[in-house]
Amino acid sequence: MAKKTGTRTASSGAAGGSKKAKEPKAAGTKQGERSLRVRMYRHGLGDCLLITLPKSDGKPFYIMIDCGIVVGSPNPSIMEDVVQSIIADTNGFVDILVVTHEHYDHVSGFAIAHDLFAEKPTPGKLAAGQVWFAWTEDPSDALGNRLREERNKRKQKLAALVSSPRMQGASPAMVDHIDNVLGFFGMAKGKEKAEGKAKVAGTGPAMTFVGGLAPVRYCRPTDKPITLPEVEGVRIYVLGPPPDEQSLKKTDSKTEVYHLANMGAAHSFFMTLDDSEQDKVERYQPFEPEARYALKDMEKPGDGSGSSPDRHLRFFADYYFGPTRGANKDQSWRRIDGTFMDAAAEFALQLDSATNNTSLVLALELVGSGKVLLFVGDAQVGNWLSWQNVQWQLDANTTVTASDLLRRTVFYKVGHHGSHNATAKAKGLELMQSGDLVAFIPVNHEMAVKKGWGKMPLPKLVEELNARTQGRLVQADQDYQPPDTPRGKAFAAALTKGGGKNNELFYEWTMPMS
Amino acid sequence: MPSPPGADSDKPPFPPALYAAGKVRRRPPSRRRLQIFAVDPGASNRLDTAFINKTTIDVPWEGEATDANRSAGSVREEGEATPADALGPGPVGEYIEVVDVDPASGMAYPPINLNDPYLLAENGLAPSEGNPQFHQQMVYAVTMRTIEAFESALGRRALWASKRTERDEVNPSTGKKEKKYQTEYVQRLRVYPHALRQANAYYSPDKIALLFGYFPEMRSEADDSALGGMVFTCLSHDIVAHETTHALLDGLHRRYQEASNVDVLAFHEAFADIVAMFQHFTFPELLRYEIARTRGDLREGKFMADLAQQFGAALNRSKALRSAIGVNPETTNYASTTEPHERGSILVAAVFSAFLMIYQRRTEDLLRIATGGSGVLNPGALHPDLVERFAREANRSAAHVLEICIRALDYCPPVDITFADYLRALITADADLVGVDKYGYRVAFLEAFQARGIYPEDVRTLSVESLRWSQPRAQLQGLCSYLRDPGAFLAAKNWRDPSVKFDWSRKSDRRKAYESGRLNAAMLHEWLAEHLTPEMAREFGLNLQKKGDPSTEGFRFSEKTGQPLFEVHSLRPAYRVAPDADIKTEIIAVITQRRRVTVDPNGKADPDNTDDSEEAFWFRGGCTLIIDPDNDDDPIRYAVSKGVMSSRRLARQRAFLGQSQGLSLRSLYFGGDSGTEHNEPFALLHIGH
Repeated sequence: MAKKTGTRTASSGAAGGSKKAKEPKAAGTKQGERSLRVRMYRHGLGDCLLITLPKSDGKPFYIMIDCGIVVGSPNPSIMEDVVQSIIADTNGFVDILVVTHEHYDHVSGFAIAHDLFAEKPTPGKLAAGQVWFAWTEDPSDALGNRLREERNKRKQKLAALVSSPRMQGASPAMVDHIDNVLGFFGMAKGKEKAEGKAKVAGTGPAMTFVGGLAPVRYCRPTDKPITLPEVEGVRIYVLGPPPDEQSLKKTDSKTEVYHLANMGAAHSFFMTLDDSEQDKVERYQPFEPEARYALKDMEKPGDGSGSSPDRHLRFFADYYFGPTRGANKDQSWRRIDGTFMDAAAEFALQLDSATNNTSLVLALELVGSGKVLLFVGDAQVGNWLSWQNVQWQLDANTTVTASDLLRRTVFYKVGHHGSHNATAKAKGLELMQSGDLVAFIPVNHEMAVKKGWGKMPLPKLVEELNARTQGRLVQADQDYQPPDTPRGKAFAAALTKGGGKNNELFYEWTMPMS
Repeated sequence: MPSPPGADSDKPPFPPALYAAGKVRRRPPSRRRLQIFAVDPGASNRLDTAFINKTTIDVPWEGEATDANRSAGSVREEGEATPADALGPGPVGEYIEVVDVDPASGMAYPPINLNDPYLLAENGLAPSEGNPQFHQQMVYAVTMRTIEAFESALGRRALWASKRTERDEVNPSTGKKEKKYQTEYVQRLRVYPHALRQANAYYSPDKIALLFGYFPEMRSEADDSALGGMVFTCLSHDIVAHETTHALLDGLHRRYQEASNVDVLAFHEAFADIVAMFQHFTFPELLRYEIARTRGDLREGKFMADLAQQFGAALNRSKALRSAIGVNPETTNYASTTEPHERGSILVAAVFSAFLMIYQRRTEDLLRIATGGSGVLNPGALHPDLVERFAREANRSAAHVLEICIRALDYCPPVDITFADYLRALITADADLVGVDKYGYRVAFLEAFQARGIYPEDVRTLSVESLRWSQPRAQLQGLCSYLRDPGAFLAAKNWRDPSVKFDWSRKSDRRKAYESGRLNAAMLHEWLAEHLTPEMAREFGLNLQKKGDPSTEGFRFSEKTGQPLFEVHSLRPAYRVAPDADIKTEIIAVITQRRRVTVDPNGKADPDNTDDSEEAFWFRGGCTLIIDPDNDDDPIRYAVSKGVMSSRRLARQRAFLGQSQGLSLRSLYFGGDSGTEHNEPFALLHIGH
């Protein structure tokens, strides 16, 4: 069977990959013992995972989750190496291709390595049997459509804002920060940017492209647990995204979510931009024309006539524009010219969070052992908490809840590159009580720091995960150092490196099915 | 006795001068009446509340700014002394300046002149959402009302936080760069009624200003045809009062901005809401309406809870802070709730519950009289007289609770406050002023707080007596005579002006009050530096061991004494009139100290390096001293201290800092090195609330 790998194109990507990973026949370590593998690519700040399950006939069944790297990475074309590596090891075909959510660090690979994908199995290219999206991407879902529409509009407005001269009133650091948040949509300096060999820019086209690769399934938490006809003893539960707007917009552990009022605020805020729809600007003015002056007209000194406009001019000179006479009479420290722009940060955060919350969350259950592998995308608090509201009726006597699944979780793909708000505490990590827990963090701290995100991953969370996994925590940007315990060594033995020139492209963990 | 008319007919009965027209000097009115929205504009659009939504409140009179008291036409001098009774267009008065610029809309709105005769005749403009000048009037009225509540409860003029400027200066002796702080008096709080296009309003400690936002209601961002009416946060009484309270509290306790434990920010929020809420309960129309509607029965605590919750509900903002009201206290969890608004809501609920108990006690007899002794009301509507009497009692209870809550601020520690400290302050403040607790106010507070699990850990028994702060073991002998006559001591110290005296007078000029407050503090510092022994200092939560003592690690030292630096933050008088007409004079001294410590318990911090803010922080301690200036033997009645050397408190603060590290998405994307961009602690707390 090893010959089959010869069908791949001459790719340097997978050269020197681990033998085990390349062996497509049996996904097991020993004859007769079925096992599965979870692979995390280490290409940079972004997610790309490959799960290998054993089919009933002994052949491998592949699930690929996401394929992306954050915008502005030093070497975006590394995504081609990643895809080449997958082509090599899967023989150019993954059974299920899962895309968790529309963020650049999860989908940019589809744009950058665009030419390496194909609709039908083609030598040297990657094809998929099915594509799985979250229900929020379903074009026949009214709420999903509205949310996407809102997301798009918000995105465009923020992009316009970043490049707008109006933003000069705000601090430059703030503009950079917002721009970095927009980077999640593949934007830089307010423009969508095509990186590497990408022919298309931005996340939207990448999503459309993936959707065209294979028949699409839109997954909902209300779906019955999904069984795979080819693979015995596996059930896949859809935990999120939550079916209601409230949860989707809940982004932080605060009691309340940003609500309708805030939407109006955002809308009227963006109406302050120069290129906003001029015919509508007037509708967002709080007062009628008779009740107001244009602020810029008030900067002039009065004419001293004592008329009513003159008195008003003097008032604003005295109490706002100043400076007043005499030493140290500067009142510029109290002015608020650019202060309202601070809101842009909030609106950018809301956009980012709302998108993260549309993450498709999958729990893969091994029926025999009851063990669960949890893939959360970048789900944030609202998504996590909503799992508590769903349960699945397996048969008359068996009901499965999200808490059950969390309790039995032995593998956790850490959400949002290890940032604090994508791993719930009480209703999340603290429920993962299995002594066998293993966690992978797909992150590149150096890149995150460049983006100004020094707390990615959050040290506190890493510490907590390390304790819960007893050291079986693999961080993509670091060489794994096993703890000096028998179990630590056993885990290290089941963890292999592979891909790239020096086996540096991925980590893969093999675990028994039973 | 004037002679009977006609007895001496060639003399007029009174001296003619008294009749001379125009010679009788008329005093200006003491109050100005202004119309406001009682709830918020939304309530005007519901039939059941439309008729009570407009109310007229009165605020202290500030007169017309005339040529005589303000140099007309000239550019105003910042801080220029304006007579206390001048109110210019804006309104700009003694305490606040309303400046209605709206950079988000690119507009400015002309300032209202409340001394316009038409407006004087009609109690100001009638409530209207579409007239920005009414907005200016309303923020002025509500802000002034809140300031007045503070002044009367604290017994002195309210001062805003001073402006702090920071600059790097090279210390000539060490050659190192040092941060120098300069403070400057800020006369007026600036108020921007239309500052933001956001569902937010906040107090900015940097600008010493209140910023209010506005926004249109909207169903969907994708479809802007569903645009609703404009909502103005400056038209909600509770929001304006809430933000003003933040500003007043900041002027009093600047360190309460620093989240050194989980209660501090929650306290800031809860206190602001308590003031807003109880001030609201002093509006008689609303109370009468609600009492008639619910037949005065407050035993369930439900109606007032509803009333409290509906305020500001349109903005969905104060709801979180009041969410614990009317909830069974056993279901609120003080121990494990950490989010500031949720935690604050427990304090709000505790105070509210105390208020209900007080109201109930004050109306028990009324209820019995009205029901022939049965205490059971007949079905149907209440008699209007009874409604009136119930409302009066509710009004009075609310005013008292508000006063006690504000007065307690003088009895709070200068740093690191907890809810339990506040309970002790409430009880001490009230016990000091009202000897006999006729209506059981203090027991009501104790019971309400205890039911929610808020009580100090370090008192042996839980009773009103044991919760009162106690007299310190150390006394500062000679302090009183120094306070009376500092001259001799200061002369020996080569003080600039040894004839200077402590100035306790109640100034009408706030700038003088500010300046004499600073001078007083400097004088006390001079004396304490010599008279405070290390042993006494420990009693007051300070550390005055000599340099080199192992305990002094992390302190900065005074070059003169070789002891760790300490600061007399303020020294201020408080005059209070008790219900029995007794006038109390007290002096409140706030003394603080800080030392640099690392987040890591085993680390070592350098007090001269403040750039290491990731690894180290200032750990603060100190005390509030309540001084009785007439008691020569035991001048210090209470020392409310937070030990700067307390290892328990330090461990708690370290743990807290560890937990709160990177708690928000904002701090992930926007925090870190550029944290200085966001100096608006209250802005972030308020978003979405």
